[in-house]
Amino acid sequence: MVEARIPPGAWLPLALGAAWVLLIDTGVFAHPLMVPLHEVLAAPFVDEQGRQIWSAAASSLVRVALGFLIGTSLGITLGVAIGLSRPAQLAVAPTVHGLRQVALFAWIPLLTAWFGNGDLVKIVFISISTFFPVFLNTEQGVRGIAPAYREVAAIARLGPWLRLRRLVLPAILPSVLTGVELALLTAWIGTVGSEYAIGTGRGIGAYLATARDVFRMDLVLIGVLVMALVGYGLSRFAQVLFLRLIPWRTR
Amino acid sequence: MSTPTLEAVPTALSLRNVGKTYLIEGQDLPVLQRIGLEIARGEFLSIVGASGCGKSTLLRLIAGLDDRFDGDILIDGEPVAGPGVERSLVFQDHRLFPWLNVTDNIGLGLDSLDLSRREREARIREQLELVGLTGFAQAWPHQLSGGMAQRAAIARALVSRPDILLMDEPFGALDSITRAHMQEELLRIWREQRITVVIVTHDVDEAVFLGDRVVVMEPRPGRVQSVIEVDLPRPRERTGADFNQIKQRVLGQLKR
Amino acid sequence: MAAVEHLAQGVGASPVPRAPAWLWRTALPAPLRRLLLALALPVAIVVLWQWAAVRGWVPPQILPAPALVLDTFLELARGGELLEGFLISLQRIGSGLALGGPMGLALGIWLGVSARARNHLEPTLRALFAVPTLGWIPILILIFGIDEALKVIVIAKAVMVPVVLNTSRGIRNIPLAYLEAARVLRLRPWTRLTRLTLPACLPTVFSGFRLGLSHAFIALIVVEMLAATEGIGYMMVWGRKLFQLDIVIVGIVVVGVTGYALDLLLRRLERGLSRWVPEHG
Repeated sequence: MVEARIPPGAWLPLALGAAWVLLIDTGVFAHPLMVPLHEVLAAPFVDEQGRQIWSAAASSLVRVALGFLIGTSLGITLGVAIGLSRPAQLAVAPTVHGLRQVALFAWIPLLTAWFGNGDLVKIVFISISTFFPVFLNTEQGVRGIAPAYREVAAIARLGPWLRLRRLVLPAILPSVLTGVELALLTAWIGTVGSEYAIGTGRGIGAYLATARDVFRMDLVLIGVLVMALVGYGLSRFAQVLFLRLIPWRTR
Repeated sequence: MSTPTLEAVPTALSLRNVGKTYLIEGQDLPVLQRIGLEIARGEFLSIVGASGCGKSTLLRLIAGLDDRFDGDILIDGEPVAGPGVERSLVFQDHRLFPWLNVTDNIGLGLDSLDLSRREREARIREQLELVGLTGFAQAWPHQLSGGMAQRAAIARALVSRPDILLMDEPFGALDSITRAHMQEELLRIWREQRITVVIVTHDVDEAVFLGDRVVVMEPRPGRVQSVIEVDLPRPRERTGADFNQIKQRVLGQLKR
Repeated sequence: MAAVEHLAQGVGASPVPRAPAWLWRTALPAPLRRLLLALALPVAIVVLWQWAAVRGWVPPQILPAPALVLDTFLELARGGELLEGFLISLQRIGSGLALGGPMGLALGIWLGVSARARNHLEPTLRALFAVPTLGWIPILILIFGIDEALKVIVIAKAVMVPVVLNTSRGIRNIPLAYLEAARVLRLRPWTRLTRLTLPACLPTVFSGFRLGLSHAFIALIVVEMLAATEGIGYMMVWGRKLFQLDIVIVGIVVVGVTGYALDLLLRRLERGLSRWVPEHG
């Protein structure tokens, strides 16, 4: 016997949605900020400014991909290089930890002074946002390779390249992926954040800034919704991917 | 002290046809089946059995931690409905709250009673003396040894002056020297407080040393296999021939 | 520890023993050695930076000399702007904490205690919590404008999320052993709350507040940079507008040091707390 039941978790959203439609769509509450639900949902398709969300999203995705790739490759390379050498660890890691204490957003004024207002500065910012978690997790992963494994490698007299491929890289994979997963979300927030702060150009952040400036709550809601959905999609994608790459790790 | 006859003293605790079944993945798993016991007031009853015979489950049912079971559990003729002031339970791990000192832990046993502050303090003092922890009133649980912590737990259980003290392998985590000492202490407390004690243990020696009767349970599903009278005067000699004879009887039953 | 170091050296190093390394090792005690190494890079950067500024390799609008930055810092400190901005920012965090903290605690307790509440509210809350602080800012700006209410609300939201999550988790993770003991002892609801629930989940709850405060600080900086006319965050935007990067850099350093100090202080408090409330379970 199959019962069609609404799961308890859905009651609140459904109730809120119903209230929204009943109070605002019908015009009971009239206020420039209270946009009818159906208008909000239709905006990406019918509204002239609403339609721009698609190109804005595409723009942001391209940026995050670029910045993420740059930050990740730098982070992994440096993380491995520095993790392998104890003196380098002691010299570099404290500085990176210190720089990480600065809230990422605080770098934006300096970066815009150096790199202007265009795509470059945004990609630089995204790369920096990505770099920190990837580097720190990779370096920690390298440091954490059990001494027993190192001993085996030393005894087997594996040359540096072979040691890297066969011992270091597989052993640090879980740590690296943890850092990458974290970095993905940080990068995405950094993308929209830098676009929003800088305001010019295309992207979800710029879209939000413009919508805010023209007082269009419906466009703001769309922008935030898209940002949240992409963020969720990215982290789900990362989870699924990593589950495939390291199936022996339980969450 | 001889075992009182059932006719002369009213039954404190009565189990009739008690059973418990767990539902695991759609299958019924019977844990206890048709348990029948009559325990007299003031009796000391030991329950032994191998792991999986449900003895702990049975004790928890009596304590009222679980109220889903078949059959009847009666206290002085009244069916149990959840935990009650007349029953106290001592667990194998002392379960003292680490953020309260010994006095406050014992005081928890009085929470459900409406006593004046003076009465509370008097009772707690009384219990500390009873279990021999008078100097440790302000101590923290982590400062106590295993035996002392368990004594504090017993004090917490007794401070409400229950009629029935239930103990679930209370000395299992202690070393054998402390355990022997605690067993003697327990007998002393039992005599002084005149309570009914039901102790669950896997240690046959302990069961025979302590109990007026030893209930032997067998597993899968948990059932009462036999009840053996320990008709020996106390203090009992663990090395005595009589003692050993009864112990062998119990062991024999367990092996079946 | 020394053995691991030795092995680590072995993994990357050549088989030939290096006499200078041996001397280096025994000349100085280990902690001092570590400190010197840690300082080597930043000191080198600052020296290079100063040299570049002095030599004019980079114009001062792009990279003000470290000496200038130091001067500006002292000037701002003496002039009181730094302290003023600091106090305003501190007040905002305080208000946000006072708003978001108790709300988060209450909601977290409710969710921890009631499975029904969890079932009904968790999906919605999770979706809301998944939207980063940044996402809330444009929505809240449209509703509240850019005055103080906005900043306090943004900070309150940033505090609430970890507090709710940690509190509810802390309550749900109270060991069953204690819950059973409480049942057997027939503790009254108030006693249960004050003598079992709250002390048992205190470490986790505190950890939630520590995280909340970290997030609050970041949210403060973000919202001050985007929608304020005073405060540490605003100071950086202001410096940038005037193309006085020395002010911006002072701001960056202040933000970094404050964030670090805050986190350090809270971690110390947390450790001290867990010593006082001994290990459970």
